[in-house]
Amino acid sequence: MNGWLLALRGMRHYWRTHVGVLLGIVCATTVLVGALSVGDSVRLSLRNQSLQRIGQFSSVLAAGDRFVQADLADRIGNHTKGLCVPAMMLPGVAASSDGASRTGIVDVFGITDGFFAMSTKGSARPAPGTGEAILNERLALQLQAKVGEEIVVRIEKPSLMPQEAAMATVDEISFALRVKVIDIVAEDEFGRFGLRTSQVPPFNLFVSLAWLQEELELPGRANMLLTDQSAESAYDALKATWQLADAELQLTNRNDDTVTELTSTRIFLDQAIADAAQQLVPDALGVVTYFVNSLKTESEATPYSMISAIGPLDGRVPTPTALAATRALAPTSLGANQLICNQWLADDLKLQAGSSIEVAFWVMNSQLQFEEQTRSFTVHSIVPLAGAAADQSLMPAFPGLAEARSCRDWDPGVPVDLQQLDDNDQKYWEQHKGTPKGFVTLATGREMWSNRFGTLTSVRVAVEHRTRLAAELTNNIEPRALNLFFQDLRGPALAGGMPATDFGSLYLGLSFFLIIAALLLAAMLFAFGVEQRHTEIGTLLAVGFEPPTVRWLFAREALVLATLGSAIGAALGASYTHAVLAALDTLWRDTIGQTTLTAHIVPGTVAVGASCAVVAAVLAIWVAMRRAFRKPAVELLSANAGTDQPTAGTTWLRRAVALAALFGAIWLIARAQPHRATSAFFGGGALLLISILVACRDLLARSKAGAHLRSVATLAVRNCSRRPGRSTATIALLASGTFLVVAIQANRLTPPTDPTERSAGTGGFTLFGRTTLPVLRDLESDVGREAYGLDDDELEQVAIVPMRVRNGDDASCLNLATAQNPQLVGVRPQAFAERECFRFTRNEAKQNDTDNPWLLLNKDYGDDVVPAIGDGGSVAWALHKKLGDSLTYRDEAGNDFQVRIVGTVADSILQGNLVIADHHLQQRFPSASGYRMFLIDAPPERAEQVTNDLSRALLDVGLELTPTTARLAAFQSIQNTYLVIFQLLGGLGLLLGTAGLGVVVLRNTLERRGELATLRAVGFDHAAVRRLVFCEHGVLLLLGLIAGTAAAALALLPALGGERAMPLTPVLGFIATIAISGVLWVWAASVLATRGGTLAGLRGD
Amino acid sequence: MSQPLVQLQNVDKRFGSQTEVLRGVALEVQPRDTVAVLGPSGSGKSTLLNIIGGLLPPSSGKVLFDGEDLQGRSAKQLAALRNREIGFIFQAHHLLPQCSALENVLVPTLVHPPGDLRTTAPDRARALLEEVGLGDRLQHRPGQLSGGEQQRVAVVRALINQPRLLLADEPTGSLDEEATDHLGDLLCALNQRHEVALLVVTHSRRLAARMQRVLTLRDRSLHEDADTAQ
Repeated sequence: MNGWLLALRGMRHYWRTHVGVLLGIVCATTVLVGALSVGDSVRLSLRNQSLQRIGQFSSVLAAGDRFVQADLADRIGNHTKGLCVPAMMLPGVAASSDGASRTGIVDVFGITDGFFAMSTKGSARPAPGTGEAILNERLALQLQAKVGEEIVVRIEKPSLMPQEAAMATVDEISFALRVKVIDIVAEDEFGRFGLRTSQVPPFNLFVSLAWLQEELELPGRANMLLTDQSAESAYDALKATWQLADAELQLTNRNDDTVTELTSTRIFLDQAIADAAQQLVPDALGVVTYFVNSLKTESEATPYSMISAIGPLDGRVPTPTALAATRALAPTSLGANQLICNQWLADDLKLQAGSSIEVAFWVMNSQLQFEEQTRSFTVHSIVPLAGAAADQSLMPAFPGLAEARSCRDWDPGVPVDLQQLDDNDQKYWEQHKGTPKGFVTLATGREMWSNRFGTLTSVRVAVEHRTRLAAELTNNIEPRALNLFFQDLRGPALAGGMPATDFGSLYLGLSFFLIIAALLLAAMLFAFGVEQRHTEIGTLLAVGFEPPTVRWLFAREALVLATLGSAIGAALGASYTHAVLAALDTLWRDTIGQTTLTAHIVPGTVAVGASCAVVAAVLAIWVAMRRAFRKPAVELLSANAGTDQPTAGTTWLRRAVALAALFGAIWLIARAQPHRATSAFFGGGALLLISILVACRDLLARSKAGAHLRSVATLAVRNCSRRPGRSTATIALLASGTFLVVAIQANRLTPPTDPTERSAGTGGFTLFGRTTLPVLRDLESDVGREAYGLDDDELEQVAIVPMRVRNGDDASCLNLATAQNPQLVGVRPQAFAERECFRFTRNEAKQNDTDNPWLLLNKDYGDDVVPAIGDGGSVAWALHKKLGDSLTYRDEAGNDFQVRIVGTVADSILQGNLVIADHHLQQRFPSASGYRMFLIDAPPERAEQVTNDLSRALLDVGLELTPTTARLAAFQSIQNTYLVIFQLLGGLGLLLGTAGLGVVVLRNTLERRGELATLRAVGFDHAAVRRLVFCEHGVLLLLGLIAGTAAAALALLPALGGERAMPLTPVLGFIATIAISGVLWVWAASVLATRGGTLAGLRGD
Repeated sequence: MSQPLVQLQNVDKRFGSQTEVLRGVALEVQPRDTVAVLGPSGSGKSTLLNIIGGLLPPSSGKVLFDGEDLQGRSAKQLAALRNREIGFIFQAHHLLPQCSALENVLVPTLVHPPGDLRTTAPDRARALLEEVGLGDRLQHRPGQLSGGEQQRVAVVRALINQPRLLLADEPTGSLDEEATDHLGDLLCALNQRHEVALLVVTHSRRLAARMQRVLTLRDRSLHEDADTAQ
């Protein structure tokens, strides 16, 4: 015989009570383990998806609009002894062949054989052939495309010249391909392939790299290299093996092979290239040739000509003989405002030395608007149109010009009026093509025509330097300065695969009520059982057991029950996980967007959850039963054990608290600010609840003997005052649970009724637009509208705020995964400031600063710091940042810089992005050409018409327009769905709580068996006694529900009115369900407790 | 005369400020004495027993066990006293329904540290149960025993730790006359055989007559009852 045996005996004998305890613990453990496993499932699902996204690749060179030689992949692979594959990645839009289904933002990949072998599945699937394509499942579903069918994909055509350069053309930025679908790949076969962290599968389309190169007229080129080596190793290999052609550079001999010219297919030479050339060949000449609109004197004008700016890269170094003739076109004696013209121009404009001439030319400003600038020069001298001055190669291969045979075939990227050209001009073109008609100093040319893409169009050196240049130029340039660097894929994928929110803790919190209710029920049942065994406790104390020893005896029973219950619950936890995941896949889809979650049950988590459940259960039981051990043995052994005398309270204190809480509620509500109404009313409701509960306590305590008992119901109410503390606790539990679960609905978010309200989450804009391909002109300008075929009438009263986009991770609540590098959006801060759009929650503006906080984006925070403003929710919950925090980015020059959060806006459509000043984005990411995001101000009644017009005009760039209210609603639906989940799980907990009310009935009744038996002895029949017990506890149920509902109603007041009033039916339904459940449990307990004979009760059996 | 086993010196007991149950009670119980305390219901008999057993403290006066004042003992020491030196028999016997007769008897031994006393306890329990005529009911649960048998199990439980004093509170309260006689015989026999003092609180003159001394609790104090004493 030992303590454990005694404990087991007790468990077996009192098994009826312990079944309830066991069930409560099983329930709590199931929910706890299940919730934690939901967290594991989300985490591991995202991790798997992240790894599926990158397969076996470890790093990538994503050159964007730069194209390296595809065989650079082989050179790197050989150098690293690993695998490196070339690919091409371009944005596109796709449609079914009948146009019935469309989608934007398709990632088109040109791949080679061996690509799919690097997927997670490692399949031997070859690359598609000519005219063929492989789709991923999401794209196939979107287009309703099956194997064997054809689809049309419009792909952005890479511009050799940066698209925003003034001379770049708008037309033909995309081309269409009709492809036959030969296969559809699953997620583990690169169906998820992509470079951005997102759990939303992209739309992926794979074609043959060779075929894509052919269609793009980029033979042997690629803009992406994927390798299984680390970024460091791959970059080292890149530096060791890259060639000029990989940097899109070429060396051409000129002037009868006396001069070698370094040029770029991108037209402009990056500064890094110019610097490297100068370092290698200090006596090199730099040239920048520009297409000017006109050269004018007071009376004459010559339209559309080339002017070259020429000069040594290092003015201290003498020019070599080979370059002397070219150098002489802009000699040292040429001043900054002087120009040397050729004879042809002099004849055309009747110029002589000393004449004044005005040069007019287009430049592209930061808003993609053409600005005509002019500069006046004095003619320094006139050179014959021969020799170096007749060098056609001084004009770079401007698209739309270089290949034109006739002036009438010109199609440059700048506005031209070909009518201005006369026969003379035509003849010049036919004979001399783009030979410059004028020459200025290099410094002057750079001053006029330098842009972020470069300051030179060529570098010329003496031919004897050619070999050295060819061999060593790449050694003097850091590839990363040309946006050629390898970025780590695996690290960010694994980090990005971590959920932004700990779903385990989240669902634990959402299930909180359910777990607590189950544990409370188990503890109450166990304590009830212990109280029933009061004579056992008294006997043990009487025979010499110390109180701790007796407590430990019962604790052993609790421990066995807790362990057994946790073990069963742990096994059932998987079911809860599956149930939650199934609900997330259907009813609660909004919270996880497009993510597919699979259940992952991790043994360690199950063990931790089960252990925590054991500890929680034992603790709950320990706390609940400690009261039973406070009494002395004598009392426990007496017939009256288990009946307490009500204790007197401090009446004045209770009334003071009730009044204070009531006034507090009124004060909070009276002072509520419009945008803080929800929290004020919620706080007011909570205070009202406290006030009502304290009032109930006071009412019960004041029920005195001596008052006239008029009926059984009056007796029932009087009986509630027998144990005022216990009665109030019952009311409080029901009321608090009802209040919390119902009133939480007050936090439900709704889109604004008036989307044009500037301070709303819509920013006052009616439409939100995204394009797949960039819009290269300002749609508010005549040129831009003309370029895209938009009518002024169509856009009357419409204002468009365009934004540049630097692709990145989605940091909105639609993305479960952690955003590593959130998408950057560049806007002109003034555009937002003058509209005063969006409501700031916090910002770094000083108190006396009257400027709109959007202008903080222009503030200087230091060389490598770019200020940004983001949506408050995104910043806090997706990025886990706050005001003043920074994120590290790498720009296209390979330099790291900080993006600092200087302001946050509330509940906005900007969610998921960080907004920076447009000039910062252009400076850091020059390849982010054009605008791809738009906020549109339009009268709401014309929204549909504006949508149709813009969609038609911008069809080829894949414009998708969404009403801002719909976009906001999509974000808000996530939070609203979490509220629903909380209410559902909390509601289940409350239902369990009503079962606890049944236990209270049993406990109260069995304590007073003698008293109830006496009622029977004096003539109350069975039904009357049952009715009495039912009424007594029904009063508690009613008071609890009324208190909770009244307080919740106050909290919900702001949400009950107006156009977007919260539907009341679900709330009323919930309260009714709790009431019905409570009534059923109380009735069942009343029946159970009033069984048994009168005599048994009188004898105390 | 040897030192008394139990001594009450001018013991008062009040509950609250109004209810005085015992006043100036004096009592001596010698080792191996048998004493009965008679009194009507509510006279304070059980209170007196509980004070002697260390379950209730007196409001004033002294309670000495083996010459040592119980007031000076801690709760732990009082528990040890009840376990080793005193055996309690209750009217309602309070057997644990989930344990067999043998197990119920062994319950008080569970507080002993592991050692000889605990090791030999089962044999001693069997012997005692045999002695009281329950040798064939060792594994029976209380629900399977008659009232008299249950009370005998309670008596054996009180004796298992070889106490020097047995306190019985209305041990025959729920027994008929015949069973009362049997229990009385048993108590007297156990007193002789195990040399244990016996203090019985009862309202049964029949049982009281079996004791060496009979005291009456009247007007809150103890008086010798010459009519009933042997």
